[in-house]
Amino acid sequence: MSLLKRIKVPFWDHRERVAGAEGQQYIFRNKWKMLAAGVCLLTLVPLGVSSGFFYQNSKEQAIQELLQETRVYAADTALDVYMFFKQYIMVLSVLGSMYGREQLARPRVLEEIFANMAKTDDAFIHLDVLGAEGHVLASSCVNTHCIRHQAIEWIDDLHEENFSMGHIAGRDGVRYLFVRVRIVEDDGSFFFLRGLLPSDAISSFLRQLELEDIVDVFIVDSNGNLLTPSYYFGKPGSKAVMPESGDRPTAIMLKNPRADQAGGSILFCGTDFIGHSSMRLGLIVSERNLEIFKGRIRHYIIGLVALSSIFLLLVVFTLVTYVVQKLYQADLRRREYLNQAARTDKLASIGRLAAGVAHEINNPLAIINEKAGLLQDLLRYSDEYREDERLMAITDAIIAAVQRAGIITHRLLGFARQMDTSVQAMDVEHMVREVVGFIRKEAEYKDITIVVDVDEDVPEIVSDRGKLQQILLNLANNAIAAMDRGGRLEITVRNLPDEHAIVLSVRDNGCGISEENQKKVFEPFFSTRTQDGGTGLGLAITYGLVRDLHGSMELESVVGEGTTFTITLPYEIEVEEE
Amino acid sequence: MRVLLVDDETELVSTVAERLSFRGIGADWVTTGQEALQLARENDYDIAVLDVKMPSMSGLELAREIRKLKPGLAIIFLTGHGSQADFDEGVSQAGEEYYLAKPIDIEVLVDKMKEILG
Repeated sequence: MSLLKRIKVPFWDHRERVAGAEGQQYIFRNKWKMLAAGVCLLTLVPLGVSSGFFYQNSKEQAIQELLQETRVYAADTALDVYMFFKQYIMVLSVLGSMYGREQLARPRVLEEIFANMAKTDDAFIHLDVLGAEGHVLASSCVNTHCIRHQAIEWIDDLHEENFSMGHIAGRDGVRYLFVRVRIVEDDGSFFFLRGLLPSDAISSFLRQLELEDIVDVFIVDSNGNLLTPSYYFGKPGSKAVMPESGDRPTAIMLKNPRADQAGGSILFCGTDFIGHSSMRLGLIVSERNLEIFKGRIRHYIIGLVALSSIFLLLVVFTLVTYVVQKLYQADLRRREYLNQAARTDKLASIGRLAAGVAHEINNPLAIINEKAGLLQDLLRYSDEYREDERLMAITDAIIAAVQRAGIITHRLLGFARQMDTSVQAMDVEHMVREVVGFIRKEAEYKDITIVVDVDEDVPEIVSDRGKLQQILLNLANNAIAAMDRGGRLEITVRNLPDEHAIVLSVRDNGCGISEENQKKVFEPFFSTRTQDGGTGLGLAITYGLVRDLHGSMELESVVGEGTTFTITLPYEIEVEEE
Repeated sequence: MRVLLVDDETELVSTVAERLSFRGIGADWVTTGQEALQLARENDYDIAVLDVKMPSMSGLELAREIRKLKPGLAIIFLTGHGSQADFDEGVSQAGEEYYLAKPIDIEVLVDKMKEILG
């Protein structure tokens, strides 16, 4: 609460009646709110939008990186699988070279060799010896896995490749992967050895390849049908969703085909050909990486947005507060000037009115004066009434009253005359005495003595007589208000020849101004007399007028002893063009 | 001593003339500038007492015209009110001492006249 109070700006609680609206409104507070909302919108929306774009862009980039990664995985894994096939090819090559066609074509020999090889877990499950034309010369197999005697399908390729890989349908309809080598004999003739690979061995080998992010590895034929089981696409024979095959390893992003996995997550599927065969290796990279990446970006962006938002809001609030505060101050100043102008204007109107009345009264007054004078002359020069003291006294009284009225009209006329002209040469003492004439009556009511002390050497000064009188009048009125009965008001004028200036001081022995208030008295709207109609503008206006006259004003005061206002004015002020 | 009094207020100017006559000063009075010029042409006056504010021809104008006829004529201005400009011109023509505000004290006026004529 105290912190709030400390940072609260003055305009926050400023209320005023607004035309058309009911009651009072916090106009500056409302302005602040509107501005702050507008600027916040202007700054935060672009921040949000650009962060969104950044997020999207980063996500795209992450996907591209993961696709590339998947392609690399596919190429590496296809090579691993190829090497796996190569082991079997090597076995067949050695077998062919060791025994030759003659031996191998004998069923008994082949049976014996096959039986020996079958002792290991991952041995061939079916072995064929094929002639140069692709016809079966001999065949041996594990009973459960025997396939129909089948010739080689790709007779055209036979002569070109020393080995190849492929798949073939078994008697049970299951497709088996095989490797085939061409064995060239010393006489230049050749024959083929073909071995079917055990599915279990292939599957377990493929499972071994599932490392880190690779969650599924499988082999498909040229149509995209599975040759080995896949976690995501099902049993062999099912169709796997694969990228279009090309020369190079490819990868795509696809929706998880397994409905039982929550979230409809994203997978990356990569593929590459295994050696020169038509078979392709497929693998699935989990979306986990993308999720991690997205999470990291999200954290990063949220942090960034939060930080910049806080910073922006701080800047926005500070700036808006500053601007509205300046507006508020400008508004106060404008009011002050308006008040001042209104006051000057009022004074001028009163002056003009007074002058009009004074002028109208002055002529009849002059006639009364002369007629009374004539009456007195007539009495004085007649034998009959010369000694009549009563008549003389009556005419004297008339003339004295007229003279008194004349002084008043003169003062009013003089006052009005100064309203017309601005800068002029003037006798300072005369000006001061004129002002004193205005306040004498009020001072007399309060039994206040007014002392005017003007130095002999004070020269005529060129200044704005009206403003100067207003300054003196304001100060003198303040002084009278500050004093109790029997006070003493001193107005002194001193010459400062070195500075080409005069010093006017107005001293009273009234209540004084406390040190705390001394700092504030020149501020507009500061008043200790608000109860009895003080506007708090008097000294602010006076200060403004002194500045207008290129002068300076100082204040000295001791509580209980009195106050002295000292005004320093230059001998001459330059007339400003309006 | 012969004095010419000019003021548009008949009651005022006639009364002042009468009062001056009580004090041994012969004064002719008129209420317009034109009449005043006519009299000034016909007679020799020592002093002209002019009201500043008069219809058709102001006291200041009249003073300039009279000066053309009688350059040595002393002038005293009387004023009911006046702008600063009137005051400045009146003072420059007659001197501040001889720019008197109405209502005037007849004795002051007589003193000023005596002063002028030494």
